Amino acid sequence: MQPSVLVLVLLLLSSAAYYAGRKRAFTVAQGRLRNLQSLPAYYGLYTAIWCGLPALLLLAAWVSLEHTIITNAVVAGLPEEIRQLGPDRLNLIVNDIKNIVQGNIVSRAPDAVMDAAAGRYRSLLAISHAAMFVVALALAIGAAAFTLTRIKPKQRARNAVETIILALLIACSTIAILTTVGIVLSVLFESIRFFQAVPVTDFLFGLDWSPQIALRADQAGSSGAFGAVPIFAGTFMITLIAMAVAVPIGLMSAIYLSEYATRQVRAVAKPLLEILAGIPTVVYGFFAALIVAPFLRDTGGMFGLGIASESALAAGLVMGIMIIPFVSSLSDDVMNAVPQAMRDGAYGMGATQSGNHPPGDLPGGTARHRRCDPARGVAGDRRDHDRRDGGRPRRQPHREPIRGGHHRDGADRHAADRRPGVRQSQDPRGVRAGVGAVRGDAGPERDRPLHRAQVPGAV
Amino acid sequence: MSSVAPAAGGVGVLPRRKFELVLAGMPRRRAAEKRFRLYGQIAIGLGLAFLVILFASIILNGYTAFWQTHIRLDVTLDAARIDPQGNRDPEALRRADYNELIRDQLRAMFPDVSGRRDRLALYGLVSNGASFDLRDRVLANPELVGQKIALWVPADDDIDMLMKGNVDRSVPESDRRLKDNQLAWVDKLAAEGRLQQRFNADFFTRGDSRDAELAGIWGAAVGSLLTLMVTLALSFPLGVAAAVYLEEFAPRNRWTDLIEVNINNLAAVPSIVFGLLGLAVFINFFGLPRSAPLVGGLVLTLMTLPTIIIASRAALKSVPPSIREGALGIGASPMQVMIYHVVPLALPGMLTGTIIGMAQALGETAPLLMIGMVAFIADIPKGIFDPATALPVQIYLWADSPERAFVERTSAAIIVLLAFLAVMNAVAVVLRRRFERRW
Repeated sequence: MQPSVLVLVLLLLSSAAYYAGRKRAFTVAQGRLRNLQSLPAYYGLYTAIWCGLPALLLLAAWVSLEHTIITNAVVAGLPEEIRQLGPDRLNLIVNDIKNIVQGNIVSRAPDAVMDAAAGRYRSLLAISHAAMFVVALALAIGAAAFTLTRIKPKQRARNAVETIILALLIACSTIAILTTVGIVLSVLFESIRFFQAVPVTDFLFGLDWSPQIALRADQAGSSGAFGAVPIFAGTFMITLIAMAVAVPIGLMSAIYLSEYATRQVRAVAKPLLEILAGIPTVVYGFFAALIVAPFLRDTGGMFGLGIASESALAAGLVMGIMIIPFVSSLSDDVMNAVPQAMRDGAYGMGATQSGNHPPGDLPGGTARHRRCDPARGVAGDRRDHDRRDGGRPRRQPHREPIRGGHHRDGADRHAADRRPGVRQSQDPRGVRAGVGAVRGDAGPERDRPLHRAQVPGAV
Repeated sequence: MSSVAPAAGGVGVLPRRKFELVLAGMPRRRAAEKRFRLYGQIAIGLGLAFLVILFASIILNGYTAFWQTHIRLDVTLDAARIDPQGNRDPEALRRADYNELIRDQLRAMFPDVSGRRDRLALYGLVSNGASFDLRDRVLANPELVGQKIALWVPADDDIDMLMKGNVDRSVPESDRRLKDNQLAWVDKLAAEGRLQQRFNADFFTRGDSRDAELAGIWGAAVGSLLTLMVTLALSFPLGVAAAVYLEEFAPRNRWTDLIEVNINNLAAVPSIVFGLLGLAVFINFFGLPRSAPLVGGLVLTLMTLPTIIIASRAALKSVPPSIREGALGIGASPMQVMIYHVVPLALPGMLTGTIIGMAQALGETAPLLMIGMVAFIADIPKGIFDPATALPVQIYLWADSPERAFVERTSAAIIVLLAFLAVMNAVAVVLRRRFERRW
């Protein structure tokens, strides 16, 4: 009996348990629903969960553990001289036994000991599966029967079901923590093993990278060296080149798109630029190797520079292209976050639209001056659409042009900008603030990761 | 500028001298303004130019791979050689030496070729896969035995490149893969109308191969599909459940903060690290099979989960509180509000986030390299436990192959991959436009 079949059987059983539980609820209520504490479906769900969940958990534990246990049992049954072998050799033998069991190609000629061990493995596996089948089914049916007998009109079935669902939700949300722990542990243990063989100082400060370890002392690879400085240097160099490409292009295009471009240009150019972030990295690699590197080599050759095909220049250039959309979206965000008051103040001091960009405002984003630039007159209020969703009209009270002398307070507008999807003007502020406070999401910074994470796929 | 007019005395009136100074500076400032604008236009132009160059070079390199040069051979299916018993037994038909038939035919077409080396060169005109094509054709239709049939077989990738104009004939013979005698044979075949560019169906139906003319993306596409199915089946429920908990039920405490910090961190972890995790946990610890779409799907699940959680939370956040309050007001429990009202309303946003996450997973190479999906696998995978590879990994593998024909195949595979990505993102955009409600 395969575990997958058993899963199917358990699912069928628990859906049967659902109907049984619901029917039982009707029976104990003597046909009058208002006698029941919860809706009948909750009694059904309660039974189904108790029928399916423990059995499935048991199944998962069983399947993940059985191979280890069986392997140990088989190894314990091997002749003494085989068990005396080192762990590496023993591992090979165990692999061969498993291959025989699965009918794969085996690395050695079959012999009687191996065949016997494989036969033992097979029979143990069959016993294990049979036992699992019996135990899981017994657990499922027993739990369902027990739950059915416990169903009473005053039982709080809905609360019980909801508690279980909540527990499942919590379990799902802890996967993030488990993943982090898994990453840290998996990297940590291998690193510790590595640093036992290679001193940390050699790795961090060594200048020679030739990662090879000889199996025997007299082999060619015995001169392995693990100095990571060349790797760090290469990474930093590529990063620097990439930044040199992406920062000017990304920053300037963000400034242009948010300050100068017409709505039409913005609606076309911004998604087009974001396509760059959606292209798989392997495509960039191929592009670098096929187009950019030969181009650089030939161009360099014309000027008498020997540029290798594997140069950091090609890699950095292409990586720079790849991160243009990241730089420009982030810059766009930061610029949107600058309060309008600051821009208006700059205009009041007589700044032109661009005049004070580089020195004055870049630390906090750039000034946004268009509305009172005397050279351009009063521009249409292009900021009235949401930057985040590509130019959808933003429903917020129309801001007066600065000419009129009073405009919305910058900080207020800033807050409105930062809540994607929630339209301030539509709900009464008190309600919104109250719920926000209860759910604890009043802070605008909780929106930030969304935008960044959405960029890669934002084709 | 040289004006020395005395400052007017009134309070709040700009002194004339300063006013003129400001005016005099205006042309310079306007020019700076214009320059600044120009920089912006140049930046956007550069970005778009890169995009155009990227797409143009991939498409120009790749579109020819959708055609493949075929050679017409008039093969005589000699009954005595294919089916000596004469009972059309499929087993006998399968074992017959079709390669020899094709070679005989080539020798018959070029009777003056002699010598072992020249003959091998002659046989090399036709792809290694030609005999399998012939065998499949005979097996599908045993009546052909004894007849003389016209068979279009794929040409060797070098011939294909020659016909597509990627081989320079002026290079000295010693530097060319195709020698002069081969060129002469090809020219003769072309003059007889035996060479033709036909639609390259093999590219879409076959698995990987060392011979460029036989290599196809179907194996990788199936591998990608299986991997994505595992990813979708796991990451959507997990992501939505986690988002629902964090957004609607989680109390504001250290534990919740820890979860949120972890999710935001995972969104920024380089993808290859997830591959290391998969190797250590799923393959080494749990003993799952190497190179299997199951493990690939698990790894990509962990990788896309932050994206889906973050998008789902945004979708949940955009459901107005009035919905929740209305439902609570008529007696629903918080869980009922969630299941029957908030989640259905937030579902389009969640699906959009999921599709974007899937698109990200489809294009991912690095984590799959770590868990062994980078192997050369010629068979089409049949399940999530079979060894498989994925489209981006196939691209990575082909990009390493030295043959000129693989450049074309790689580009073509990239075109297919980008087409899939474009479709997925278009679906996401349509979904967002059509179903996302603005409150």
